[in-house]
Amino acid sequence: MIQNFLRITIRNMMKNKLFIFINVFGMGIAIACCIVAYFNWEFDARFNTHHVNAPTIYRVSSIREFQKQTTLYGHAPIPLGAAIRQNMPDVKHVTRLWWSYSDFKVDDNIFRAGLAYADPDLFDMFTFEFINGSPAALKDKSKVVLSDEMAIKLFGSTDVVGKMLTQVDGAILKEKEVGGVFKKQPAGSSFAEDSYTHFDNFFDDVKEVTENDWKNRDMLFVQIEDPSRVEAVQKQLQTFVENNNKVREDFVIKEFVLDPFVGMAQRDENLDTWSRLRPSSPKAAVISPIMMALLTLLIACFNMTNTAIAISSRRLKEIGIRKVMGSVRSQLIIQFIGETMFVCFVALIVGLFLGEVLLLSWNALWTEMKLTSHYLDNPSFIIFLGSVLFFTGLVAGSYPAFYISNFEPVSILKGKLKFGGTNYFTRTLLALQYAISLVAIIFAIAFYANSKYQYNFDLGFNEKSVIIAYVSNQGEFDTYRNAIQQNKDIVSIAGSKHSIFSSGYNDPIKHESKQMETDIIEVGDGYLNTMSMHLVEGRDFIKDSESDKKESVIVTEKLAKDFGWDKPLGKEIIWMDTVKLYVIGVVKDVYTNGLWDKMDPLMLRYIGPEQYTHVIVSGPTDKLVSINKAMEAQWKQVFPNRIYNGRFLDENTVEAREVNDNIVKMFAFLGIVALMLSGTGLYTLVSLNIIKKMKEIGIRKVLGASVSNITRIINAEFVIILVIASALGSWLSYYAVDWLMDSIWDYYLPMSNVTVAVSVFILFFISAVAIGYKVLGAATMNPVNTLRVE
Amino acid sequence: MIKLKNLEKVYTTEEVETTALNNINLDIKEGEFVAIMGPSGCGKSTLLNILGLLDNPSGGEYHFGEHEVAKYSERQRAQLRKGSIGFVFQSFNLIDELTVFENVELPLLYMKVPASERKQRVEEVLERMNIMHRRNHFPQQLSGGQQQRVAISRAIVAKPKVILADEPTGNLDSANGEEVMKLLSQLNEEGTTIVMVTHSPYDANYAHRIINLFDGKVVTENIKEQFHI
Repeated sequence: MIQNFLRITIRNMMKNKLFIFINVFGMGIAIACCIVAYFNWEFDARFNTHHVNAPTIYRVSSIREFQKQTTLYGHAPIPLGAAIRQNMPDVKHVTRLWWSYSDFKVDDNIFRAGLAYADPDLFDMFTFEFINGSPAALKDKSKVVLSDEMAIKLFGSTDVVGKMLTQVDGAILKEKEVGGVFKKQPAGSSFAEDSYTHFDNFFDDVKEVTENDWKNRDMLFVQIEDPSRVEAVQKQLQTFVENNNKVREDFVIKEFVLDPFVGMAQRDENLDTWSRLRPSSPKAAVISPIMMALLTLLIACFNMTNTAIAISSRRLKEIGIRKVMGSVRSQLIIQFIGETMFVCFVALIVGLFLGEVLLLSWNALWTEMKLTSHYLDNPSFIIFLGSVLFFTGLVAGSYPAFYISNFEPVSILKGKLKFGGTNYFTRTLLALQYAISLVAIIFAIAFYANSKYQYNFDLGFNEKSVIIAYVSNQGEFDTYRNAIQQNKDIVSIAGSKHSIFSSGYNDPIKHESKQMETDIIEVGDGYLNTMSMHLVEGRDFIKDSESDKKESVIVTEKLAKDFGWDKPLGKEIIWMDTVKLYVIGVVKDVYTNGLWDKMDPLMLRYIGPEQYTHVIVSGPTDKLVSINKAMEAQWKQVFPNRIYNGRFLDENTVEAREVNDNIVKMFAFLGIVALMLSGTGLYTLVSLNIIKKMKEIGIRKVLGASVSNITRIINAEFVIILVIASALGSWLSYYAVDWLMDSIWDYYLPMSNVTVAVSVFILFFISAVAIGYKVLGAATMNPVNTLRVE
Repeated sequence: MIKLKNLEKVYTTEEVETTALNNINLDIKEGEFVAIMGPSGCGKSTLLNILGLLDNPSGGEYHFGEHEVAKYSERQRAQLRKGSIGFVFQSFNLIDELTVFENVELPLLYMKVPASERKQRVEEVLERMNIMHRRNHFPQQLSGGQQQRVAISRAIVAKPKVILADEPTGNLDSANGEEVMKLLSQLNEEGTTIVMVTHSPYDANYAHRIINLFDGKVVTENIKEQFHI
């Protein structure tokens, strides 16, 4: 019997190749989307889980209440590490941690690597796999531990324990011995750095930071093996809150908390917590693919149900005969559900292959994330795929199975039954399919429009025409400036200690009774001009003016507005509770965090060349690449031992554009698949309706109906379905687009009516193309043909 | 074998009640060949469908063998139908996706006959119907006469007590029609009860008895030859 069913299934599939192909392909894509969504979710869910001690590790974080807002900061005072080690026996391991960068040189090879300063406990707490040497090397200040990737870059081998390399810190060269080589951490790890060295080296490399100064902060991790002691440790930590608050009036904290390492990466990303560890994927990047996969799966299911209903009308005779031959209803139900299950199974196989392809394209979208499929070691995924298959087969097969098997064989065999066409169920499915398709199209168009909007967004300075290179002091600044200023393409060069999109600090400031926090950057001559910042009021700093250095500031409109000033010029600002500063100029708002987060107020202070560390170069946007090349060539001549560190300031904008473009790609893909499936669904239903209405069309034609009359009769119902779907899709998109954009950016272009109108037009146009030929065929046929049959 | 007492069939739609069969009393003995005739719409097919347990009567009694089946559920009817009743239709009603062999095999599948026996029985029947050489062909590849022979093969493969034929020659030319009628006669001679609906007086001549229906009632019964058990 099963053989007989299978045979019939396969022969039926061969008879309806086009529909089956579209169904299998559509379902395959849906399953492929599920595969990507699942592994993408798993990547996030498994973030940091390879650290076997993760459940017993905590980050010591600080909670601060400022202007009625409670914020968690992922850092703690540096001396707290030693204090914990001395006073809290419940804590098994402690490590302080600070990320930085360093250039490493071996012979003529010079590479930049992320360098972490850490206590030796680090490797006891977190799971690192050592290929050569031992984790104990971190105890030795003169050693450095490298990732296998970095070792190969520098030495061409991982067998390098005992070999020497040079750490290039500006003009200072330090010889270090390689103490160990570890396997680079997976992409789903917060520890992305390629080299580690003893924390004490931090005090040598950064002179202004000292070990016992409670003013300076770092990251601090502890391991507490007995979970019942965590609360006690947290209590003990509070005794050190005072040490912090005494020296940091600008950063008064409420308490220290033990922030569990499990889930930390996800929380940091979602709450936007300050942390210099690599965070997990943004929530939107985890949820969007799941949403997409489910929507595609739904469309594929709906389509399969509609097609199954449509095709089964061609099989009424078979059902009638089977019933006459003694088949009972349950056997027919099993047969029909089994058939859709079989199609789903084929789709699953196709989906598994497509999933691999889609994973590759997904990986190509993102720089950091590299997802790989793994099925056999992963029973949960097998269960997941099994349920997808079962669910789909059930949804797609149930309706035809239960509905068709209920017909009386007499009416079927006598040909009395006119089955097919639309009913409420198929209409609802079609409307939902179209609504989802429309959502996808609207997303693609809305994000495309947003991409253009954001690319041309005025950030308050011209980020597209600036390159910043970093030097150590005034001497280097002068040398390098003199070397590059021959280049005629360069419009201007300025020096500074900080810059927008590069560096700066955040401090509380006061005006009368009002207090707030502001970003502060210290800049030199010509900064405003080189960055193309617009002065709306007042003046720029005067060259070499001592009073400007001492007490003048230029602020953004945002800062003035936050203080509630109508006339900001001359207003007094108290900084660090003691220093009096006066506003001499106001510049147009600067989007200090790009478009990602709300802009902070910004204050510019004036410094002399002795403090310059940034070489800021501007030029025409179209010549910036060649200017950068020339700058790199000059750098190699002036600083032969060092890696050129110039970077384009628009990296931030480029990243935003990449995110936009990726989302456009994702939803355009979904839109095309959804439209293709919905188009076939529509085509199927229209074809069935035409068959059903053949007689009516014939009679109407005999009575004098024109082609347009007939077209209207066939189309009216579908136009209504499409209108309902458009309304539903637009309404859903209105919330969904805004939700997604808002979760990514603070400044974006909300979905416009034009976007909706264009999307709806596309939807109608594609539908018209899909059914046009069929409808025209029906409308222009000779009525004699149908009436003779009737 | 088959006994109908005051049998009625009424079709009810929202506003109209149509009486298809009105007070039918009929007795068909085992081994008989009965033809049912009458103008279009007189209820011939309705009667055949009720006899074939494809439809339930609205009133009256229907005895099939020892069973009173008038109020059987669909499941019970299906159970009794398979193995007891064979059907031959005007339009053959073969499943297009199955080969000749598979079409004939179908009733045995539902009777859960083991594979080896199925093969033997189907081949025997096909051999007998002289269609064995076409066993792997699909219905569309056969002539009308051949298709009807396949349909008859399917009807008799389960060795039913009764064959119900609904205008079995209606879609055939005279030569093929003749052949089909001879086959049915032969089956009848071997002991199978046959009830046939037909428009053709010529075909009806093959029967022992002709029942004429008009507006859902039996109007005449024409006993052509004495039927002996």
